[in-house]
Parts: sequence; structure tokens; C-alpha cells
Amino acid sequence: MNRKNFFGQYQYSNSPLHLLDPRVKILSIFYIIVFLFFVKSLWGYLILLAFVIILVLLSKVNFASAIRSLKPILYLLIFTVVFQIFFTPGNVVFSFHFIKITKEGLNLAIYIAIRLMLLSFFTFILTSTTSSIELSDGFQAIISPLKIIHFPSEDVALMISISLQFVPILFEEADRIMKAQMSRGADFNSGGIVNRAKSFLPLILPLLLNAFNRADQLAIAMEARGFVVGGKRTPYRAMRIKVKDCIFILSTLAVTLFSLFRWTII
Amino acid sequence: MLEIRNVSVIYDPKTIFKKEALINVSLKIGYGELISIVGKIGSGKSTLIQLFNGLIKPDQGNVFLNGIDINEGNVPRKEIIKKIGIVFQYPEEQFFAETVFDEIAFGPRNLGQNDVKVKESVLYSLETMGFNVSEIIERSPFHLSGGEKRRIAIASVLAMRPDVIVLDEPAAGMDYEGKMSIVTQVRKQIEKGMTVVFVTHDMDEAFYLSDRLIALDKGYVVFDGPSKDFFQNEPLVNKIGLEIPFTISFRKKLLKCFPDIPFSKDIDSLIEFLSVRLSH
Repeated sequence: MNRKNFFGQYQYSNSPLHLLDPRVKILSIFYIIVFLFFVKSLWGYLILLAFVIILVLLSKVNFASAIRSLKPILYLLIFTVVFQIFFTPGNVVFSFHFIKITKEGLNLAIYIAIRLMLLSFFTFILTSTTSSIELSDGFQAIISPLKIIHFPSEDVALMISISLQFVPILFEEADRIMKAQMSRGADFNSGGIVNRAKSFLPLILPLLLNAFNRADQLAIAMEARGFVVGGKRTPYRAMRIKVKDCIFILSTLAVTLFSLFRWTII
Repeated sequence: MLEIRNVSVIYDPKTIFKKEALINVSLKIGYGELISIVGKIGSGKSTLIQLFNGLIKPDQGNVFLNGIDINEGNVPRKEIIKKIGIVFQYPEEQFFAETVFDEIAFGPRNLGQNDVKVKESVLYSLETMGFNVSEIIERSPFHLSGGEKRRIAIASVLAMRPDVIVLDEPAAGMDYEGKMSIVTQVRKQIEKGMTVVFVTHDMDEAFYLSDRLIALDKGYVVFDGPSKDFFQNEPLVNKIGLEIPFTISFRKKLLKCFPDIPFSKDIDSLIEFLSVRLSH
């Protein structure tokens, strides 16, 4: 029986990708995601797709879970594709009554679909190979220069860290409450949209109440251990850029430039 | 009535998180039985009880309710829930309704009972759990004391009038008074002939309350029999990391001076025996 894994949940492994510096991973993935919007050829997307597949294999994470990471964006994907196919003006390749499909619409739909899928895959790579603590440490290090302009980078990083750590706890709690309500006859899977929304009330309400209670307790526990907002803190884990980080940066740059280079000649 | 046959449950197979929660477990639970399920954390207790009403499906083996496999697909879920009620740990954390009435009525309403029947079920369960109905029925479940909340949570399952009630650590995190109040109400259910299954870490509670005991260790059933026999097998109890109940260890110490001291589940009767002997 498989326990439910939510989108991009960290999957423990000792793969080369897991061992990369979190700052490198965050910045590289961010760079690729931004870059995705500049690629305008199928060739470029295919190179990036091959790159993400290599990364999934290198990371030793469950391949099926990478495919499953598309599930949350499935409806968005379908909606976007359908919208582009039917509402993009251009050369008509198929028409039936008022429905018209254009060549430009088809092209755009394919590009946007691939772009969204790649975006999801790269985000999955980041979150499934980087623990919440590494993510928050990396994020804190990246935004730390903003302290110059009095931006509370440490507090923001702490907020992100706590939120990320609470995600699996909330999922577990939701599962526990769901089972308890199901034992009292609650049915979360049938009925129309309105009925389904109503049936989730006995799940969401206790979940929210417990989350608020837990937040209260956490705040008290942190204050009891001397936490002060804005206080100076030192990191427990020192981050250093190593050879493998440089290799990852270089390969990311090479792949992105290569996909762009081919685009200019075709 | 309820039969678990050669059941195995493996969490996350084919991953590094693979965990064999239950391994080839077989047991039968009959009408009117009072059973304790004991074991250390991670021994498979919670997984086992979730099999009872089909909340999880076994990877191997079958779960039969009155001879019918509940995971076969043609058994309506509501029919299973109606017969097997489970009260999970810290059940008061699952409250959501504005009044005690609505909280308890949630189960009967889900079972499709009409308003008259729902009210009847709510009143029955509140009375069964020893509440003054008129005093509590319109109050918010969130504003009750810890003990009251726990009893309301048990009442909310009792309102569905199950044949079997499974209580997962019913007295966890409660003071002595709250614990005894729960124990008293549960004893009443047993007297009414309901099958009660306790999941507990408290060996005194398990010994005092139950006739039959099922001990789990690393997913295996290592003991299934009279609770008295289990606790007299000290090497087994120690091996699976559990404690001997106070009543038994107290009696064991007294045996050296009073070899004829009777076996008892009740500490009071041992004290009475001792006081009679010492007064002589």
C-alpha cells in the first residue's frame, strides 16, 4: 500500500543532485524556469526535456512520482491547451460550424503545454531533492544581501522554513481527520460539486483549528527557548560551493545556451 | 463476526521507506468480546484497527465481516461503518459542529437516518455516556472540558449503534478522573453485550479491562489469548518491550510472604486480603 506523497515531497537519497548546494539548485532551477519563457522552438524544448529526464534519473527519485507531479496542473494544462487551440486566430486548418482550429493555435498549444510540463518537472526536481531545511537555508542565504536595505531576510526565511516543515504534518493530520470522519460515515468522493464541497467542511474546519492551536503552541515553545524576532542567528550548517556544484551550473548553462543556439539556426 | 485472515500490509513497497506494518496476521473477533490490542509504537496496532472497517486495504489476505469480504467491492461502505465504529486517538480534535447535538448527529445523518431516528440516536448515546442530556445538548463541543470532549467523541460513534466499537487509546493524555470516567462508560457498553476493542499502551488498563489480549510486535501477532496468561508470561512481555501491570507485580511480591494470595485483576481485593491477614 502506497502512502500518499504530495506534489514534490522530499525523497531521501544520496544522489549527486541531493548533495548539491541548495543555493545552486534554487538559483539554477529559477534560471531555467525563467529561461523556459525565452525558448521558442520545439528543438529547444526537447533538449530541456532530455535534460530534466537525465536529472530525474541522476536524482534517483521515483520516476513515477515525477510523472505524478503533473497531476496538480492537469486541469490548468487542459484548459490552457483547449483555449489556445480554439481561440488563437491564424491560418485555419480545420473547421466545423463555428469551431475553427488554426495552425498558430496548435503550435501555441503544444509550446505552452510543454512549457508548463517542464516547469512542473524542474520544480519537482528542486523540491524532491532538497529538504525543507536546506531549502530555507538556501533561500535565506540568497536573500541575505537584502539586509542592507533592512529587509528582514532571516525572519522571512524562518517563516518559509516553518511553513515547509508543517506541510507534511498537515497532510498527515488531514489524512487522520479524514479517516476519523469516514468512520462516522462521511463520504468525500461522491456527489456533485456542491455536495462535495459541503462534505469537506468536517475535514477543513478541524484541520484549520488544529493548525491555529499548533501555531500558538509553537510560538510559545519558541519564545520559551529564547527566540526573539529580529535576533541575530548563526547557521548550523555551513554551505560551500564545491566542484560538483560548478559542474551543475556549467551543464545548466550549456544546455540552455545549446537549446537557444539551435533555435537561432532553424 | 469479524475475521482477519492472513493479512499483510506493507507501506511504500519498492521504496526505501518500505515498512511491513502487518505480516500474515490472522484473528477472529466474536460478539460480546472485550479485547485489548497492545504493542509498542510502530508495532502495527493502528494499521490493524483501520483494516476492521475498510479504511485501509490489505496488500495480502482478506477481512471478513459476518463471512463477507469487506474489500470485495460490492459491500456498501455504510454497512461496514454501521457495524464497526472506530474512535481514533484524540477524537476531540475532529470536532467541527456548532453544537453537541450536531456533532453527534453527524454519523447517524451520514447513515441516512431520518430526523426522528437521528434525535433518538443522539439522546441514546448521550445517556449511555452518562451525560445530563438537557444540560449539554445545545452547548458547543469546543467549550467542554477534556474529559467531556472525549466522552462526546465516543458518543458520536456510539450514536451509529455499532456492533463493535474500537477505541484507540481512549484515555490518552487524560488525568486519573477523566480516565476512570471513560473506563466506567466503556464497562457499561460491555455489560450491554457490545464488542469492545481497546488499543492501549497502558498495561494496567489492558489487564483491568480486557478478557482477551492481542499483542503485536513488529507487525506480527505474538500473543492472542487470555490477558491473565499474557501478563504471567513475563519473558514475552519484557521481550516486546511492555510492562507488567502493577496488580500482577504487587501480587508477585506478596506471594513470598502469602503463598495463598488469590489472583485478582483488582488492586482493592489484594489490599483487602492483605489487611485481613495482617489484622490476624
